[in-house]
Amino acid sequence: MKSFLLKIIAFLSILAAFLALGTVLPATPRAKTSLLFAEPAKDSLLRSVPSPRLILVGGSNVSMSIDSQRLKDSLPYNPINTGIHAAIGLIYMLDHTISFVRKGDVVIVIPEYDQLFGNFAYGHQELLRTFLDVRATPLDSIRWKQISNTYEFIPGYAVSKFAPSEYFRKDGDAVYLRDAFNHYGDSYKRAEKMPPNELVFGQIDTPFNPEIIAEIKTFEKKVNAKGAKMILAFPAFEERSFDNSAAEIAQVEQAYRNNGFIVVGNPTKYRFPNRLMYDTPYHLSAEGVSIRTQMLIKELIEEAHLKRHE
Amino acid sequence: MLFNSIEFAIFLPIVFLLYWFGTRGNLKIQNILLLVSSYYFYACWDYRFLFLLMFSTFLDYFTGIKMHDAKSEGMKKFWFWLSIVINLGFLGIFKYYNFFAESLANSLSMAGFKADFWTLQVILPVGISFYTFHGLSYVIDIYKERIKPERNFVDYSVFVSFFPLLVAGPIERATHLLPQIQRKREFNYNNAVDGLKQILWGLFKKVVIADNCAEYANMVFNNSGEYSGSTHVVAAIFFAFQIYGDFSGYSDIALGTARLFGIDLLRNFSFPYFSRDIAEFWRRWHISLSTWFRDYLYIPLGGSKGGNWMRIRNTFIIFIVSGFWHGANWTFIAWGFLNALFILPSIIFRNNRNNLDIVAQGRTFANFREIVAMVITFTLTVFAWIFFRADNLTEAFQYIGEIFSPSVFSKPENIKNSTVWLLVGFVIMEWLGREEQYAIAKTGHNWPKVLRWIFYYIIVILIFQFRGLSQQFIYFQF
Repeated sequence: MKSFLLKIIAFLSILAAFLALGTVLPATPRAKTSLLFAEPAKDSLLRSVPSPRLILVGGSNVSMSIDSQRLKDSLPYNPINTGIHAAIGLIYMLDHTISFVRKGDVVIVIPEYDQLFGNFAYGHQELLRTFLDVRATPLDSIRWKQISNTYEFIPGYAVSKFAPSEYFRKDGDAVYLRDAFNHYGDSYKRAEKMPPNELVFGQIDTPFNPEIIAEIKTFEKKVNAKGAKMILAFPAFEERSFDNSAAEIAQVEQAYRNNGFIVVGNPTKYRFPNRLMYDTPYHLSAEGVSIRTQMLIKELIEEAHLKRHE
Repeated sequence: MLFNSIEFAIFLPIVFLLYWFGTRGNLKIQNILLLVSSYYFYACWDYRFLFLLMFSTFLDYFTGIKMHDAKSEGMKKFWFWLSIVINLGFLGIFKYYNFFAESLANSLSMAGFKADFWTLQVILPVGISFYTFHGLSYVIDIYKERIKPERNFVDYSVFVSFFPLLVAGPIERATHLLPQIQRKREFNYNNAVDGLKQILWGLFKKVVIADNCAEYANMVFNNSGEYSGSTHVVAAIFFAFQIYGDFSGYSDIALGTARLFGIDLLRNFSFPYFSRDIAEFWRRWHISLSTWFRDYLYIPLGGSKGGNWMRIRNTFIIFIVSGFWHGANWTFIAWGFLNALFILPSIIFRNNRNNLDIVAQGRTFANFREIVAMVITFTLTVFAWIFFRADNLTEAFQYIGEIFSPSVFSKPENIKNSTVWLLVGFVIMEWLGREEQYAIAKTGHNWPKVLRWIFYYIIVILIFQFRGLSQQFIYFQF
């Protein structure tokens, strides 16, 4: 027994040392090109763009479905698109954004539907990478639930630091790289390449999480306390994926309306045909972006009573 | 608490250390610890159903003693049938009631009658099919006087609830497991190391093979009609590997875990995809269930003693019941029926016991005839899996319709190269280890320790690097 335990301890110690080393090593050259590293540039926009501002918050449904130039041309606000990746989790997005909100800002939150179900909003692998690779102060403001949601990705993250491809291959899809965003934060490169979307999301299979609604409510209060305004909107979502989760999407809409948020549009309006999608059920082609942005502008004016550009 | 979760990685060492160090080798305390740990393990799924498990355990324990002590044959029968009816009653209510109610309502509505049956809004208690079958075999064996009842309630409860086998088997027999629970257990180094290796291989099968194949299979099965025929073929093959990696991986972890506690469980899988005919496949797939049906259904029905008609009838009965055991859905019944159909020629021509040995035993490569036989058997198995995976019969037939379309000759869509390479490596490892209990049982047996450890580290790293999106173990739903 003693020999057995000693060998187990030795085996696990070597493994633990290997994983610890992988965890503390700096981000690999390949990781540094990923879109997650767009966060500092977007933070810089949040710090420097003058008021009045329109801050768009969400995952890649926001970065890949809004034409901020058109927003700027139509509304008397300076848009900032903070969208990066849904799997960072809505909780991180809200926690991160609030410190940048100023008086007079309009914050438009557009969560992917999955954010309201299960623990998705507490982040996945991408959140772990954001905390460990991207942020200068990794553990600052991290929540316990985010840790419990992401710790299982630590071994895979650590092992990736030793993969040769992380150092010698840099041929990622240009659409999903750090420099794929324009000066508003919109992902603009997809227009150059447009593969059809082959992906269809199945039915959301985790339970609705009312905690997330409470988190949005808390965020709204903080935004209001700063003299700003929060508006909820719905993401553009590919039609078959939409139909697979129609009941869950209705539940989300119901929860938004029952909690007294300012909500613009409705989910059905944003049930988009596959021909307008790009690569995934939440990303839009150039034509899709144009249609979606126009719809949002109309709703912001008519339903949220934002002023039209003079 | 999934076997591939951090919670289990914490739970297992704690129970292991308490078991070997905290009990000072006292068998009674060890068994109490196993029982408490098993109930905790089960409660992590859903504590409410723990009471159902306890009740089922007590019922079989009590009726077992009553049957044995009965003064008349009538009383013995009474206790026997009481246990059978209540056990099957629970299974019927929790697992099959809605199926029968809905099927009857549909049939009546097709005949022009309006029927609205009350359906139960309950979730299926995890492992109910497994622990019910545990209990049934115990009660039947006592009734048939093959064994005597266990009078120690803790020992009997451990037999039913031992956590490695509690939620998805293997389905144990009292004759095999109870004596091990009653016997003083000594720590055996080689057994424990072997157990850890089996756990490691089981994790690889589940987390890397099954979960990666699941992503692709789910994508296509959930959106059949969106993809080409060739993609449907690949997804069906991936599902075959998913269910094998998932269930045999689970069984490997269960067997390996039990060995850490000095207990040997029944083998559940023996490289079924290297079978040369369907009969051999069923001797190698979910062995503990196949032998259960053989011993408690097929043989009591007359087995193969009668003429061809009786053999055919009995074969169809056990395969259809086996399908129904998997779930309350016509798809499982169709899956069972198809397997019965596939095995029929060997039943009629009485060559179902032709391939009792291991394919290409003692050789590295199989010969052409063996390869052809394995490919045909695998193809039939994959075809039947389509029914097992589909949500309903219409979907299954649509799926098959998509396969038999001109697009079957196009290039399959969205396949990850990494998944294909992992599968190729996995099949090679399984082939090389097919004469052992599990594929890596003897791998590196004669290598220097450093190389052996490097080999294990490579498996660990592959698990970390290529783990697929976590999926529930498929057999938990049964």
